[in-house]
Amino acid sequence: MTHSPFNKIVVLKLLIVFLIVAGCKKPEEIEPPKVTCLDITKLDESTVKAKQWVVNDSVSNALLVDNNGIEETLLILKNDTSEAVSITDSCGKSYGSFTSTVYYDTSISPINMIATVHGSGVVSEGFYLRLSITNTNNKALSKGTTYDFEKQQTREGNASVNVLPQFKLLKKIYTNVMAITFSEIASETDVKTVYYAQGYGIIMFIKENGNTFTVKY
Amino acid sequence: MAFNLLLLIKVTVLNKILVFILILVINSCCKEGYELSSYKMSDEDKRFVPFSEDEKLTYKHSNGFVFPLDVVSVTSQTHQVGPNSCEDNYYSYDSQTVVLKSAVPELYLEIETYATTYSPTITITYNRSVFKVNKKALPQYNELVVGDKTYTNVYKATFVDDNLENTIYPSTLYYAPNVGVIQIKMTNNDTFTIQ
Repeated sequence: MTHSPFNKIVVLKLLIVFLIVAGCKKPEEIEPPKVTCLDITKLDESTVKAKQWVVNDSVSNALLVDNNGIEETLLILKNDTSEAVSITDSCGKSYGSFTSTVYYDTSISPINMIATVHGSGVVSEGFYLRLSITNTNNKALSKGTTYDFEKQQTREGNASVNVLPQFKLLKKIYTNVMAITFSEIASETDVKTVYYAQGYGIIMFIKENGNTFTVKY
Repeated sequence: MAFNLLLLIKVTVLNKILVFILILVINSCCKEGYELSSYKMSDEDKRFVPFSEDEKLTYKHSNGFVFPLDVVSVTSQTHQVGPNSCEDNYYSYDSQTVVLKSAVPELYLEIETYATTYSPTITITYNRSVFKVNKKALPQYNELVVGDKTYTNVYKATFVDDNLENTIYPSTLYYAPNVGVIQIKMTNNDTFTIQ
C-alpha cells in the first residue's frame, strides 16, 4: 500500500476541520466549575462575631504605664475601616468583605503594633484578627500572628490565644479579652503577650523580661 | 580565497583587541583627583563625647526607679566624599557614633558627632526624639544644679513634635561635655537623670 500525497492532504484537511469544529464549541457547552452556594446566614453570623473585635471609633490615645510607674502614651495613629464586595457565587449570591485596621505606636518605647480584623466570603480569607509587632530599635524583632475566628487558633501556629470572658484591669472590667502569647521570643525586650479587648483593642502587653505595660482607659 | 577570508577575520579581531587595550591604557592614564580637605576629630571633639565602650552608667527616673544604661558601642569612622568621576577631587571627614542601651525602660540612645571643622552639631537620638547640640555655641548654663549635683558648661537641647499633642515624649535634654547626657525631661515633666 502506497501513501499518496493526495491522501495526506485529505487527512490534513480533515484534521483542520475537526480543530475548527472543536474550537467553535459554544461557551455554554463548557461545563461550569462546581461552586457551592454561599451560606449567607453563616457568613452573617461570622461577620457579626468578628466585628465585635473591631476597635470603636471613640477609642483614642491613652496613658500607658509600665511596671515601674514610667508613663508614656499609647498612640492610635489611624483607625481605618473599609468594606467591599468580595465574592459572587454561581447561585447569584454575593457577599462583601470588611477590614478594620488600627495602627498603634508608643511615644517613648520603641514598639509599633498593627491590629487588623478582617472578614470575607472568600474561603481562603475567612474571618481573622491579625496582630503585627515591630520593635523600631531592632526591626529584626518584627513578628505577627493571625487568629482565625472559625478555627479558634492562629494560622501560623506561632502563638497561643486564650479568650477570656472577663478581664479586670486597673479597676475596669473588660468583656471578651484575647490573650495572645507568642511562642518564639527573640530577646528579653521582645513582646511576649498582648491583651486585646473587644471594642477597645490593645489594653496591655507584657515583654519577655516581665515588664508589663498597661493602658489606662 | 578561503585563506584570505580567514586572514581578514583574524585582522578584524586583532584590531578590536588593540582598540580595547588602547581604551584601557587611556583610562589608566586618568589623573587621580586630590584630597581637598580632611576633617579630623580633634582631642576637644573627643572630649565632648566622653564615652568608652562597655562603660556602665546609672540613671534614675523621677519616680525613684533606678536603671543601668550601658555603652554598647563607640564607633569611629572616616567618610570619603567623592571622587564622582576621573580627575574629580574629594574630601574626607571623621565621625564618632556612641550607642547606649537599657532594657527596662527600653532605651536606645545614639550620640553622633563629627569633626567640628566639618560639622559642629552633635545629634542625640532617643528612640524617636532627636536633639541637637552645637559644640561651637556657648553653653546655656555655666552652672546647673540637677538633683544634688552641680554641673558646669551645660547645653540645653529641645525637641518638639507638632504631631504629638498631649503626648508624653522626651522634649528636653541637658548635656555637658565632661559628663554626657545629664538629664532627659519628658513633656509631662518626668525625668531620667544620671547618677
